[in-house]
Amino acid sequence: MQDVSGAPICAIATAPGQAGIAIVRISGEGALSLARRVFKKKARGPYESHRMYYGLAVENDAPIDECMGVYFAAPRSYTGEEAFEIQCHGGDVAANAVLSALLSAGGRLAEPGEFTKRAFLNGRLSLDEAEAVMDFIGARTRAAARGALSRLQGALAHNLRPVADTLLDMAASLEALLEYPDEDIEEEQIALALSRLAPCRAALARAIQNAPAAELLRRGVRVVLFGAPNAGKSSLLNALLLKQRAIVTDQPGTTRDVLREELSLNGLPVRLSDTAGLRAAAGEAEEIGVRLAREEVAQADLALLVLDRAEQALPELPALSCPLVAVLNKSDLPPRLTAEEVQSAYRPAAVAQTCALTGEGVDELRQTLYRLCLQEMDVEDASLAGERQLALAKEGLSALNEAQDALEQGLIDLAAISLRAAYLAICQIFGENADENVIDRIFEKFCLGK
Amino acid sequence: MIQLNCTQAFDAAVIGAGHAGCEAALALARMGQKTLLLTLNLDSVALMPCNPSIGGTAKGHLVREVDALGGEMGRCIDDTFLQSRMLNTGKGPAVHSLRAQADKKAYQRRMLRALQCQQNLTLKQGEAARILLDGQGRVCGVEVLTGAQYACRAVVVTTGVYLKSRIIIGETMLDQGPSGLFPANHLSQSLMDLGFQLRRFKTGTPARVDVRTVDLSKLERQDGDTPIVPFSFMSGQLFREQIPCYLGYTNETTHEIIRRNLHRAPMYSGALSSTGTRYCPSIEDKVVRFPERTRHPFFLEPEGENNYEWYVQGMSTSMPEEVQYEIYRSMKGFERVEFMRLAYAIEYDCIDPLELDETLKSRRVPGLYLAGQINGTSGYEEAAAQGIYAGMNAALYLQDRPPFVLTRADAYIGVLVDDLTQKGTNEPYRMMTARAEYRLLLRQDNADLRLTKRSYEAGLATRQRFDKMLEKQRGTQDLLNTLHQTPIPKAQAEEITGQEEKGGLRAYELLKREGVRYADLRAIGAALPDAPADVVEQAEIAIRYEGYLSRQSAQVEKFRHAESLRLPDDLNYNDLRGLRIEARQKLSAQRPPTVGAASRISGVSPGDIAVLLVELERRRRA
Repeated sequence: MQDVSGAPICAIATAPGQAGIAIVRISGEGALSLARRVFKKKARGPYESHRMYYGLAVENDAPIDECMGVYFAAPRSYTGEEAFEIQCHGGDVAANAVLSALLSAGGRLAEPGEFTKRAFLNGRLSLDEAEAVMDFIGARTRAAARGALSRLQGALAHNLRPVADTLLDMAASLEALLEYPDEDIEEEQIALALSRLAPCRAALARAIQNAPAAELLRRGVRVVLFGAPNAGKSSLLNALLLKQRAIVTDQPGTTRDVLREELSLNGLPVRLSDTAGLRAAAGEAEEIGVRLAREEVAQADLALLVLDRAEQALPELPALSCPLVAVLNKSDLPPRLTAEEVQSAYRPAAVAQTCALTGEGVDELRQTLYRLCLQEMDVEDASLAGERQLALAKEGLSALNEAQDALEQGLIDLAAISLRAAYLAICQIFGENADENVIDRIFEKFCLGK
Repeated sequence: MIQLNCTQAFDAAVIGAGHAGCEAALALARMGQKTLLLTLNLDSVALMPCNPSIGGTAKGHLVREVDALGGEMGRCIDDTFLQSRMLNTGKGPAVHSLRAQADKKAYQRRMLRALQCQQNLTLKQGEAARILLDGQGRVCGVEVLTGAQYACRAVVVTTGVYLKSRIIIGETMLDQGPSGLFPANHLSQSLMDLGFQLRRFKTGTPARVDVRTVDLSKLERQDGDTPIVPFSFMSGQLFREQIPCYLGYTNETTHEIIRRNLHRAPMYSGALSSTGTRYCPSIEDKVVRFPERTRHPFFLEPEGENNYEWYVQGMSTSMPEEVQYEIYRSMKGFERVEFMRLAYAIEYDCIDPLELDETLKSRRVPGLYLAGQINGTSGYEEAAAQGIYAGMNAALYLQDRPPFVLTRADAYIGVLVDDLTQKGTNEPYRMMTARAEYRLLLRQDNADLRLTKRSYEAGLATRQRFDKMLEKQRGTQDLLNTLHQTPIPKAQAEEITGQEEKGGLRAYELLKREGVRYADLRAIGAALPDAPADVVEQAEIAIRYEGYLSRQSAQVEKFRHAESLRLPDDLNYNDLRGLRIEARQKLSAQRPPTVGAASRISGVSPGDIAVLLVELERRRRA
């Protein structure tokens, strides 16, 4: 059941990355009372609309951040609904913590484009804008299905699939017992199903701990430098890092290992790796290096092809599953390769010109990378989509705890309802609507009927 | 424009007097519409051609709902049952299910009397052959095979399994209805002419045995409950001597015989291709699908008082006669069994319920309603539920009043109708508690509190029924207030809970504890009234399951909101910007009536729903 009511929705409203402040926005009936559970203002007395208050954001009484809070009485807000904004310290950590606290306090995470949708529904946007709003929602929905995050979500789905299947089995067992009280359904089968509850809870708790958005922020966006030997990959790495990390020589094939370095692009964590030049190897050590390079490229979120502008050769690329940036390095040397030629050869997402030695063009490259990383991570929705899954996983876990309680009291009916709720929540993580599956499973598993 | 050779004029005609037809006709007549009820055979009104019981899990809920709306099924079974049991007690409040063994003949006589005594209702024997439309394509009459035409502006088609029905017993196939009755061979063509695509569904029934040839001492006896819980909210306390049923099991020998003869079962030999149901499989289906099972249970149930013919629930088969004997006689206690009627499979024409709207009215033909097994369901209770619902809506249609719509949050009937008309069904559909997502609220004990007021306002439930419901509602509220106020001193509380308490407690706090009942509180002398049993039950459930109930209520709130947003009939999903292709296709094909229904279609995402909401608002402002 999708929620189309006016219940309060929450999301981080500011762009991710390093900035002075981050804003978490709440909109809908009950926004103020929801905000009050997380934001504790210092001043006494009731809230006045459109006034900024100093206070503390807390989760379970533990402080998260010093914040400012603004209450907007309906209809004088962006969405036209009762709204509240919590402004916390910039960067993703504080804002995510505040958002997470709001969700635990009963808020619902906004769907893509939902604030805009509500603004329109409440007459804050004009009729002319309706189609633009629809296009916007469509685009945001599609965007959420792309990028590094969705790859991680695939991994999460993979891990939770067996849990979902177990829950489906258990729910079906209990439902069958209820549906056919006269039938010969072995009690051991039920007992067996019950013994499977604990591992499910453990698996779900683990999934919550390793939620995709957190994982992505922890590991960073993987950017891999690759290209022909001696194109200047290591020099470029050093230039991007603003320090001497990789050993640079005139000798092609110097880098044989994969070098990994952390880089912060405007606050966005990026894991940069430098690889051995892709060519027929001159020795066993280099051959291993080349293989590692290929593997690294295959796992990249963003691939950086470094080309020597003074060489005319356009190397053949390995298969890529991520966007490509072509860098024409050595811009201090006479050009034998143009941006147009590179563009038509590889169709990269961007072409940059740099001189790693002098640092020329490196800042521009950094900005290009930042922009593409944001796109690739779909960061505008990344924390959002990640939080949605997290919220669903938490919902699933709390339903499983209820199932346990109900079973201990022998209330099979309530246990079945809770197990099913847990199952449906997990299926929603996969983006599936699974209402019918329980009934199908009952009849696959049990021999029932008159 | 058809010129009616009108024999007689009615407001509405109901075709078929099975469980759906009886309820539909009674509802129409009780709501003031002059109604004709046509039946193939007056001797088979309200026939139970299969199991001799009413109710069971989820089905019992439906009977209670039919009764709460002012239907006949509940009162009819209360007057005629041979045994009554409440199933699933102790497993949770939402799944308590009432089931009663019926005296089939007595049930028929009782229903026939209700029909005959009903004002505005005319009962006639005759085979409906054609549904007549006027120049605007609306229903204007019914023609019977012998030529008479009856004018009416609404028709409810409740033909059950009779349309072109065929009986299968092994290699023998007969163009017959159930129990050797005549089939209806003409109406199918009329429905096709109206644009319906017909499908073939199949169901089956076990053999009826002479109970004198069964050794009952080898079976396990099952007695009815005392005290008896009635189906109808209008029946008072019932006292009756009950007849027991018997439980037995198949064995490996039985299964071996079935496996050896599988090539003679029409479903496996390929002689039949109609669609059966998972919900009541034949014994050969069970053996084939679950080879690891060493036994399957069956129940021996009486078909009526003073009748040696008994029913063997769980043993339906379409095997040839001699194989049926071999199978049954392999079972303990059945070594010398004699059949009185053979088991058989039956196949019949039915429609695709996706062609119906949320009131069970045809989406194309104004005034045409369909209910019961013709819509692809199975079961007497599912039929009766659709019958009363279609009958009420046909009456409101005739009266130009808004329809009576039950949603998934209102009733099992709402779940049934929504499943049929929005999801459709590819096999005979059976109601199950697992289908009702809000089942904690849709209990059999509160069907009257949920539905009677609405039915009264629509014009069906009587004043007397309405007042009785109000009395229960007020009584429950008063009792809840009392329980919240009544203190129980520490010593008495400890006497009940059997453990040390910190201090005195309120009565309702004690009722929250596992296993504590209202009667326990009165037993220790708490100042609590001797409230009626139904009121105590409501209060106990409300207190004990408060957390669960309020959570489902919150879900229902959201559901109702989504359900209140109606999608206009002229909405062209292909033109709507922002919808994903899958959503466009599914919404165009299914045309859900509300945003809520749209959101339940798999493949329609939250983003798509947002687009629909924006479109609704755009239209509102344009």
